Amino acid sequence: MPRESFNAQLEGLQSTLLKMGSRVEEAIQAVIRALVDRDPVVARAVVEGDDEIDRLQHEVEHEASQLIALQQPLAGDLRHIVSAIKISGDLERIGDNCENIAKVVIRLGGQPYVKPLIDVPRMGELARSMLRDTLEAYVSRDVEAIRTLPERDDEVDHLYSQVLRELLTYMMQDPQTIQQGMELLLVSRYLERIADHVTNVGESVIYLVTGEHVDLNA
Amino acid sequence: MSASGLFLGAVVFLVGALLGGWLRDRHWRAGVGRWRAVLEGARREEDVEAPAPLLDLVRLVRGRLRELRAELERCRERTLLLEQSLRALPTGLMLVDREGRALLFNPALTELLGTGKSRAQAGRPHIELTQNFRLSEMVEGVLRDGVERSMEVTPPAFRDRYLEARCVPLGAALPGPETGGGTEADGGGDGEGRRGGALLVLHDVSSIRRAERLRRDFVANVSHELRTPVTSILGFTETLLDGAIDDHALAREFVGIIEGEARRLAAMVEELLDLAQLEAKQVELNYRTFQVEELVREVVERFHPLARQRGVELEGEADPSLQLEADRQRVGQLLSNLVDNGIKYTSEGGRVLVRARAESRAQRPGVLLVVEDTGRGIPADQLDRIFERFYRVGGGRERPENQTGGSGLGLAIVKHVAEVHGGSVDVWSEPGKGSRFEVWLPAQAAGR
Repeated sequence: MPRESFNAQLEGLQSTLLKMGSRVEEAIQAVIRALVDRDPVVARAVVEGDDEIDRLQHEVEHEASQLIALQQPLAGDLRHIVSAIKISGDLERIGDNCENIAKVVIRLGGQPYVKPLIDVPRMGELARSMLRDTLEAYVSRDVEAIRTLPERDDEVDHLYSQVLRELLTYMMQDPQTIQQGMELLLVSRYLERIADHVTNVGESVIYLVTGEHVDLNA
Repeated sequence: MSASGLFLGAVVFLVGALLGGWLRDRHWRAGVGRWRAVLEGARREEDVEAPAPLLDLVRLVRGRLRELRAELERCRERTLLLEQSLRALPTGLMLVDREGRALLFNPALTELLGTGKSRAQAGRPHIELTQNFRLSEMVEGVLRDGVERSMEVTPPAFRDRYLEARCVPLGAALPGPETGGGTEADGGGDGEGRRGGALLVLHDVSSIRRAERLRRDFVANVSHELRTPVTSILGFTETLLDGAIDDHALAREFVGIIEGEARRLAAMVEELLDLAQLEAKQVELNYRTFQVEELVREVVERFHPLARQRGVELEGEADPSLQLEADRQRVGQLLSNLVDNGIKYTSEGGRVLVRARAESRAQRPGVLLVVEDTGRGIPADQLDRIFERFYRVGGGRERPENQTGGSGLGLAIVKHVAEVHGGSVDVWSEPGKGSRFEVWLPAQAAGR
């Protein structure tokens, strides 16, 4: 097969991955909105949207394995394909975590929160902006901007332990709040996981561009 | 341009070839000197001894070349002009060829979507530029069936941005970035839409959406606020008509209530009109210089009865030398609204403090009016909304207990009074601890 068509297929793979990334980014944003507004309708849309994210992951895997099987790519091309597979895996996990949060929102069924949600949406917004920058680095092949991902991930971790402490205090003071407290605890745990997966995506992008294996989650 | 350019180029080439052959045959021995003489002949042909048809041809070629160069220059200028206009356009534009590659886009596109950092290039797949699956699916749909589509997208990177996206098919075949023309050759494709490309247009409609939301809230609130006293008036009037009017003591009480509600209604309508005028900047400000301390004392004295009734401590303090050139009555209204709010939202045993001091901002001398309370405070996420008309903290429309009928317009008026004076309002608050409103006004009217 001529090089031109190979390049077109690589581009197609990248486009599918970007489509998936954009869906995942919107899922994070939507689920945070659903959480803050206590809106089960938006939450249900996030749950339904996850199927499409899963389908896109299969598409990425399919396109990638076809390229490997038919083209025997080398060096940079192979890296491109391998990182696409890895990235799609992490994106899919982020999508699943969004779905989990959405299910919590549905379970809470619009009941008022024991405390105003400040840090939890902040965690979500941080994770979302990390993903945005990572996807942009993926397109521009400029990884400088995502070298700071570990610091931003640390910030999410820090917020996570803060939320944890705060929720524990509430739950100890008033056992009535335990059920909701546990759910919110889960939500912040999911968000913390999302940020970790974004950091993994960042690692894959750095591997794709420079060929080096870095551990941003260290 | 490219077709006529090609044509002219071919003409020049043909003429050159003919010329070469002819010269070789007839002037070979004359050598290079003769060549140069021939070419220079175009400038000073009368000095050169050359056959007339050759000179005519040379002149023709030179003439055409000049025209071509001028045409090229014009094209370059036009392209530059178009590029500059495209760059300056606030509307996002992207031209996509039938392969789904962005042939052309402007900076507004990536700015509106917040994807500028990816530095995507023309000639790349369109999703690299938009990085939005909704837009990319829309573009793909248009490329597939050639049917125009439109929708509204909210890029996740922005909290309050609404973009109206429209994607139209381009019937005429577009040249691809590498194939450069030649779209006629493949002849396939069914229907114009498939052969052509698509144009994506993005408009920022955020301000319209925000205005719509404000208007919706406003209409909902104003009808609620007006309905409450009207219902009460109607209820008591009906009871009176049903016979209560004969019981003098009861009738007196009811009429008193009706009067109170009617007054509240009148005050609200008054404030609404006032606010409308302030917003339209149609108010005539009656500027004069006055002592701030005196005004603070007046306002505090006026609210002492209410404060006592609520068990709230009210105090005012200001430097006696502090002067302000402003509309005294308006500033009084502003201060009254803040103090009124402070007292109403502070529970018994609390404290409201009014202070004034000199403070310069941006090298402009001014006066800072501070109203601080130890009341229930305002949650952080609502701070930026409290200056909206009828906005009530807590989101609900429930009135604070024992409220004496605030209109919900007080803070909106405060903000507008400050702004028509060229000043500003800031607020700090901690739920459960209290709030602090700071109004800064320039010490002297602008332009004086």
